[in-house]
Order: sequence, then structure tokens, then C-alpha cells
Amino acid sequence: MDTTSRPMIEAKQLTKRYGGVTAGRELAETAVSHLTFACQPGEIVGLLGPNGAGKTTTMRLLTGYLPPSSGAAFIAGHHTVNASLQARQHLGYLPETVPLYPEMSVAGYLHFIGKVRRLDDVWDRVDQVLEAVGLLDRAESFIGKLSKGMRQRVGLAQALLHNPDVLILDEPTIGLDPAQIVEIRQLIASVGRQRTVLLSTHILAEVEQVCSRVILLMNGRIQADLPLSQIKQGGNQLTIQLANPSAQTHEILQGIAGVTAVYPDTPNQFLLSFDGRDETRQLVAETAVSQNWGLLELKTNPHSLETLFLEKLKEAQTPTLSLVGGGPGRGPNA
Amino acid sequence: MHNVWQIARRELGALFVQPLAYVFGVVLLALTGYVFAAELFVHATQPGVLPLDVQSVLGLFTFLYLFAMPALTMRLLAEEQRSGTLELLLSLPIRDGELVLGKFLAGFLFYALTAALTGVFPLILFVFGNPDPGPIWSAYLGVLLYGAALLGIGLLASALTENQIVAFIVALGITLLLYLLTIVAQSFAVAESVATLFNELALANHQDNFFRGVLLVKDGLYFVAITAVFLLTTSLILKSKRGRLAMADWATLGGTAAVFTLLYILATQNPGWRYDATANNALTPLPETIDLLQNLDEPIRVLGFYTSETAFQQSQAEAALQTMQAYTNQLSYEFVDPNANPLLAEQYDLTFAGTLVFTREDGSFAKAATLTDRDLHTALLRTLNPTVKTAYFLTGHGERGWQDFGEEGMGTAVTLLQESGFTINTLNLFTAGEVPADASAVFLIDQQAPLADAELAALSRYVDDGGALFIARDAVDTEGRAAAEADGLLTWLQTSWGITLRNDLIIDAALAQAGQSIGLTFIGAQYGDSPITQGLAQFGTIFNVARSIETELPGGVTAVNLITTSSQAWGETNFEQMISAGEVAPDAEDATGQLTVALSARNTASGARLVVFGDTDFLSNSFIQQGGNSFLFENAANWLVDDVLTIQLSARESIPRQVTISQSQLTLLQLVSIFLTPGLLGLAGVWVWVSRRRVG
Repeated sequence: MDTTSRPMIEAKQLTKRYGGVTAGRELAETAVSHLTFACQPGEIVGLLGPNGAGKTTTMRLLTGYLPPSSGAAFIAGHHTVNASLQARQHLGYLPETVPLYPEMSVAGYLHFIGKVRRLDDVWDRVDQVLEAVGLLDRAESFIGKLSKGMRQRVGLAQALLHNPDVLILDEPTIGLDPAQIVEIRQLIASVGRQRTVLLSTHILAEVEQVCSRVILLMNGRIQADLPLSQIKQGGNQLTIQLANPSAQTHEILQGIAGVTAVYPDTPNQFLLSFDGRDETRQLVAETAVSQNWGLLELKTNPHSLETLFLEKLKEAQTPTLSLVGGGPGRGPNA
Repeated sequence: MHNVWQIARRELGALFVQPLAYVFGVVLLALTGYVFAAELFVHATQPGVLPLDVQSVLGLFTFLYLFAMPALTMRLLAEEQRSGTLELLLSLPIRDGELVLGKFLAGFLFYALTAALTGVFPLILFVFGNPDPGPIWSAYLGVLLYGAALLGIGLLASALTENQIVAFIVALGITLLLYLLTIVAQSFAVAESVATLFNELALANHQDNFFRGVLLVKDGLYFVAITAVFLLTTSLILKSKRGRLAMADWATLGGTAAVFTLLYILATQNPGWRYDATANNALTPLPETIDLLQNLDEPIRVLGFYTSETAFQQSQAEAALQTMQAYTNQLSYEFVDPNANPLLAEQYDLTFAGTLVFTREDGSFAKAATLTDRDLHTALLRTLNPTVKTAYFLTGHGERGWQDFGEEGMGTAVTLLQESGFTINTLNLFTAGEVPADASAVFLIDQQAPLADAELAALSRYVDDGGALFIARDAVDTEGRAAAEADGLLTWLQTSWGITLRNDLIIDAALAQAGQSIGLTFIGAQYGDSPITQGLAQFGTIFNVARSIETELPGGVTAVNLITTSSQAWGETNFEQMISAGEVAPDAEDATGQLTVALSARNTASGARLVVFGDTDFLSNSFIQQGGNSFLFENAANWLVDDVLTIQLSARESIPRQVTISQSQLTLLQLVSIFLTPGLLGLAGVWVWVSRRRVG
């Protein structure tokens, strides 16, 4: 199949309202609203958002488990409702709380999934994915007796079993210990080279480490959709640490030409957004010295996901319309 | 089908690692085994008392599953929803319907396996006896259909909720409701149409027929419909929970329910859509009876008089009545305890419990003393064609005692007439002077003294007026009978009817009963073409010390020789030589060849009817129950009064069903029934448990 020409995941004006809400009602009953995005092969896309942002609903819409109230979703070009079975054939899915049958053995469970997926060489594939997730030695163990991390890996193995074009992973590292988190992230990064992966998370670091692109979801709406590279190259933020700032420090910093915004970080530390010019930095340093604030440190921060996140979160909480940043692989309707 | 099977296989695997499944299986098999062992004891020691089938075993089996099935099904979908595996399963290329069918198949296979384990019981019956296979396989078919329906209900309940306990309670509630609907219909004063609806919807009503051995299309449809509609609804519930229910789904559900309802209504209107699985079609009325039932154009209400001691007979009567109901909507029935309601019993002149009374709205009725095809058919016929029948038994000449139940009496014969609808009176013509106007027939049986002239005159007036007379006279072997020969009755018979009762004694060496030296007690050889004797040949009729009859019919009289001897018989006239020498031989004076023992005659002008027997012993208590004597007497009496005859209908073959086992075998088989199969299942459970612990 020509996987380069078509996006593997495509959402068009995807909207889900719960509880029989009629069109035109308030956003409060709407889980997700007019999501439009597309993911290409080789992309690992992070669906980032605070709890309750609509991440799980989005994923359930994409897997076809829930039908959208309006809009449409396509997996490998197949409509998730009208061509649900074909869409699901291209899809590997790991739900949030990995649901497994505790009385089954690991291999037995994967064999069952493989049979349902009509794989020809089920046992070979079971061995391959078990090796990939590092569970080969626990193949005969009963799932009920595995640790949480191992179960997570069984869930991932299940999603990978049929070599799907699209992987949808809902909070894949939740509840794992740090070592396991690293392992799973590496695994996702490696499988994501050939496939399209959409993973949801509320951990910023996870996105930074694994993803090539981030979709920021807040209150059921896309707040940002940017390649990670674009976020990292930015670097137009300053951290200034002062020994004895005054009550007017915030105001004075705000007044410096070229400084666009000031966020108090700790009582002694402020984050400054600025135009990126060296002159502005120089002006900030001179002001700190002339005001006798006791300049301890002044450094330029790379544009971090965290600031973006916080910015967007703040924007989302004010009733202004958010700007959606440009990025590759956006849907035709964007 | 692929996905259905994969899901079923996984589910079965999950079932068989559950200790509860084994505990339940062991309890089920032990309890049914116990019931079977108890029945086996009765089969071995009192053959024929219990039907040789597995009704009670499977009855208990299905009753236990009433509660076990909700427990089996409660987790099937509820647990998948609670743990979230449902979401994962539905991210695989599986349709909701396939998921539901897979779960159903798993439950059904588990259920069928437990049913198969009870197969050891019929197996024992087949190895050690000759049970009728029909009711056994039909009962198992019923068990399977019943299980499927219960599974459908359980799955629906399990789809409704994530909580297994709630699923259990909902499933049990629906099942019990369907199970108990028939009681609701009977116990509460609900409208007739509602009661009918309840009865059609009631689970138990559809199970009974399978267990008895008759397959009704409507019973099969009922279970298939319940299964299909509940399974379809289950898959729609799963869809609707995810907001995926479409208009087309509602249409499918409505369409399916409508098609099944229509088919069911069609099946109820065609009660002939049935298959009798019993070897001798025991659960199908005879064709003559079916014809009567299908042409009923007025309601017939049957009252069954049974006491608590005759509960078993009552259940048989109910089965027989239900079988009849299959061919008509006009037949209804109810059971009455004659002890609790003696007035009602008196109203119908009941002499003993265990009688069915067929009644019409106008109050006329007829009784069936037994559940034989013959009695049921006759009772139905008589109800439809009521005839007032008043019999007068002539007294005053030393006749046989009509209330005498000793060897020589004819109390039994008279009781038969009463059961056949006759009102019995005695008549002393000497004092009465005339035959009463309400007399349907007059019986002169075994006179020991001559009739007075006035009596004879009264009788002849009665007959000339179109009356009916039953005359039975023995050979002249006693002084009293010799004296009776002096009356004018014999002359009147000869002159008015051309019938002569010869003064001889029939000897039929060819058809003599075994153990006799000269053949005074013999079997009727040939039966005339008369409704009185129809079908009697297969039973035979037995006579003792009889005389022969000859006819020379005048114009206007027709007669049928009802019963004749074999061609090797003769009418011995030399009584002295027979008694003194103890040996006999035909000689010139004796009539030879086929001799007439009984005949019926009619005067076509007056309509008078006559039945003449050259024997009276055949009516005595010691002979009436032998062969077809009782039918002969009843038929003759009913022919006289022009009533429907208790004609013999086409008979069914009847094979005695029993097991042959020794005492030691019995003990062994009982132990096997109670302990072996549950024990093996228990061991299997322990093995699974241990091996899973080892893998850990």
C-alpha cells in the first residue's frame, strides 16, 4: 500500500458529545470538539493534555469504539464507523488501564488475539513480539501474576502483534517504575520508525523524549499542533534569578523594551519572554544591576514544551480564541 | 464464524479454570445421580411402576440450571465491561454480534457438556433395559433448547451492567418470571385472554412436551425465538452503550421479533405440527379421535376427579388431555378432588376416583373410567351424542344378582353399564304390571323360574312397541333352569322372531380352554359383521356351558349372528350320558358345525331390538373381565339403546419397558450414578487447580 501519500490517522472536525446533547448546546457537555489533524507514517505524535482534556475520548473515536457525534475519523484511509472492521485491521490499540484476562497465560492470550486477527503464523509472531517487549521468559506465566509493568508490556505486545500500520497508545507508561518507563519509551521509539504512533500522555518529558510532534489538547480542543523541533529551536525565554527583588521588579521588567511577558517563577526568579535580540538581554542585565536587585543568574532558555504547555493552558482558561501553530502533516481541512 | 469460535474457545478456557464450575458440576451430577439411583431401585424391584425414562433426572437438571445459568452468564459480558477488556476486544476486527455469539457458544458448550455428563443415566437404562429412545432424545433436545433460551436471557442481563451481582439478579428475575407465568395465569383471576397469553409465554409449558416425548413446532419456536431475540438485544445493548445504535438495528430487532411472533401464532393454530417421538405414537390420539376433536363446534369441559392418592394417574390424565387439546381449542379441563367436593362427584354418579367426566354446556356428560384410547374416544362421542339410557333388570325369577360381586354375580358387568352411562333399575313385572315408559332396555338374565303369563304379555307389548330386550339363557344344567324352560318366552321368541334357543350344550373341543377334557368352556371362533363385535377378535370372548341358537327369520326381522363356534363344535343333547359316562360324542340328534352363541335382531317395522345370548356365565364376575367379554356386553347393551358403541379402535403396540438387573448390579450402578461421574469431574477440577498452581 502506498502509505506515503495518505495520512495513516486522519481526524476531520471530530466532535463527541455525551448524554444525548443536541447540536448547538454548550461546550461543557462536549468531550472533544472539531478536532482536525492527520498523522503520517513514521510520525510519533504525542497527544498532550491535562487530565480530562479529552485524550481518551479522542482515542476511542479513532479506534471506532465510540462513534463521533459529528465529523469523521479515518485509519489508513478507512472510515472508523462505516468501514470499522477494515480500519481496525490496521490498528493496534493499548487502552489506558491495560485490560487483560488474568486467568490466561501471556502466550495463550497473545495467541488468542493473533487468532482473532487471523494471523497465519501466530506462534512465530507471539514469540517475536514477546522478544520485542522482553517477556519471552514469562510466556507461560499467568497474566494475573505479572507485575504492572509486565502487564503493560503484554498490552503493548498485543497491540504490536499484527504489525499494525497505526498504533494508538493511551498513557502507555502510566504506573511504571522509572526503569520500565525508559524501556517502554525506547520500545515505542523503535517501533515508531516504520509506523504511525499516536500516544496520549500528560507527562511532558515523555513527549520530549519520544515524539516527533505534539498535539496539545485542552478542554476538548486542539490548542497547538507543532513539530517538536520547532518548539526546541525557539530559545526566546530568559530566566533571571535575583538576590533581593523589590515589589516593583515585575513591573519594571515588564517595562523593558523587547520583553513581551514576565512570569514570576519563584519569589526570587522570573521567566521572561522576549524578542530574542541580544540588545534586550543586555538591557535586562543592566536594569538588574542598576536597580540593585543583586543579579545572581541570567540565562537564555530553549523554548520548552513546558512553557508552551503553561502558556496554552493559561490561554485556554481565558475565553480568548487560541492560535494553532503550523506544522507538517496537517489535515486538508485545517 | 472464525471470530465466534475464537471467542468461545477463550471463554471456555476461562470457565474451566474456575473452581466454581467444577463445584457446580459435581453438585449437579451428584444430585441428579441420586435421583436416578432412587428411580433405578424402583425400576429393578417394581418394573412398570415408573416410566423407564430420564424425565425426573432432566427435570432436576433444568430446575438447578434455573439458578445456575444466571450464575454462569453473569460474568460473561459484565466482567469484560468492568475490566475494560471489552474496549480492547472491540478494537480488534470483531463485530458486536460475533462477540455475543462467541460468549453464547461458550456458555452453550459448557451447558451441553454438563447435560452430556448426565448421559450416563440413560446409557445405564439402555444397557440393562429397553427404554423407548424417543422420549429420551426428545427430552435432551428440550434440555438443549431450554439452556439456549436461559443463556440468551443471562447474556442480556450481563450486557446491561458492569456489576455481576446485578446481572445475576436481573437474569434470575427474568427467568423466574417466565418460569412462573403459568402459576400466575392459574392462581390469579386474570382475564381468559391474558391467561392464554401467559400460558403461551410460560417457560415450563413448553418444556413439558419435550420431556414427555412429543415435539411441537411451537415449543421449538418458543425457545429459538427467546434465544434469538435476547441475543440480538444483547448485541444492540452493547452497541447502544457506545452510542452506535442505528435505526437499522431497531428495525432488525423489531423484524426478528415480528417474524417469530407470526410463526408462533401460525404454529399455535396448527397443532398438528408436532412429532410424536414415542415408539407407539402414545402421545398422539387415534385418527378417529383426532377427527372428532378437529370437528368440535362447541366447548367441552373435562372434569378430572382425582384424589391425592391418585396424583400420578392425574398427571397421566393431564398429559392425555393436553394431547387432545393439541387438536382443538374447544377442550378445557380442570381437576377436582371428589373428597373435597363430594356434591359435584355425586352429580356425576361417580363410583370411584380416577374418572374423567366430559361435559357440555347444556349439562349432558359422559365418563371415561380409564385413559385408554377407547374410553376417551367413547366418552367424547357420547358427550357429543347424549342418549338417556335407563336399563331395567327383571327380577323375581332367581336371576343373577345385579349387585352381587361374588363369582356367580354380575355386579361387575352392571357397574360397567353404569360407567357407560346407564341408569340401572330393577323391575318386578309381576307387581308393576307394565314395563315403565322410561325403559330404554330390559334385561332378562339367567331366569331360574318361568315368567308368568301377565309378565310375558307385558314384555311382548313393550317389544311390539319398539322396545329393546336383552335375553341371556344358559344351557339347562340345573333344575331351576329346567323349570324356566316351561315359560312362554321361548315360544314367543320362536313365533314372533323366528329365534330358537336349542335345548343343548355346546361342546367345542377345537377352541376349548386349556385343561378341559370335553370343551364346555370355549372361545368364540367367528364374529359377525356388527358394530357390537367390531374388533373383538383380537381379544377373544369366552363362554361356559352355553346353548346354541338357530334362526328361521320371519319377514320384517333381520338378524346378525354375533358369535359362532368353530366348525368342530356340536350341541350335545344327551345330557344323561354325558354326566354318567363323563364322555361325549356328536350323534344324529345333535346340531353340528358352526353354532351360533349370540345374535342380534331387529324388527324393521316396529324398530324393536333384541340381543339373545345362549350363555349367562360370560357375564358373571368370574368371566366378565376375561378377553373381550366386557366389551361384548357393553356394546350389546349400547346397541340395544342405539347409543354410540364402545367400538374398539385401532390398537397400539405396547412393549413392556423395564430393566433387568441383579441386586449386586443394582448396588454397583447406584454407586456409579451417585459417585463416579461427579468424582471424575471433581478430580479433573483438582488436576486443573494443581497444575495451574505449579505454573504460577
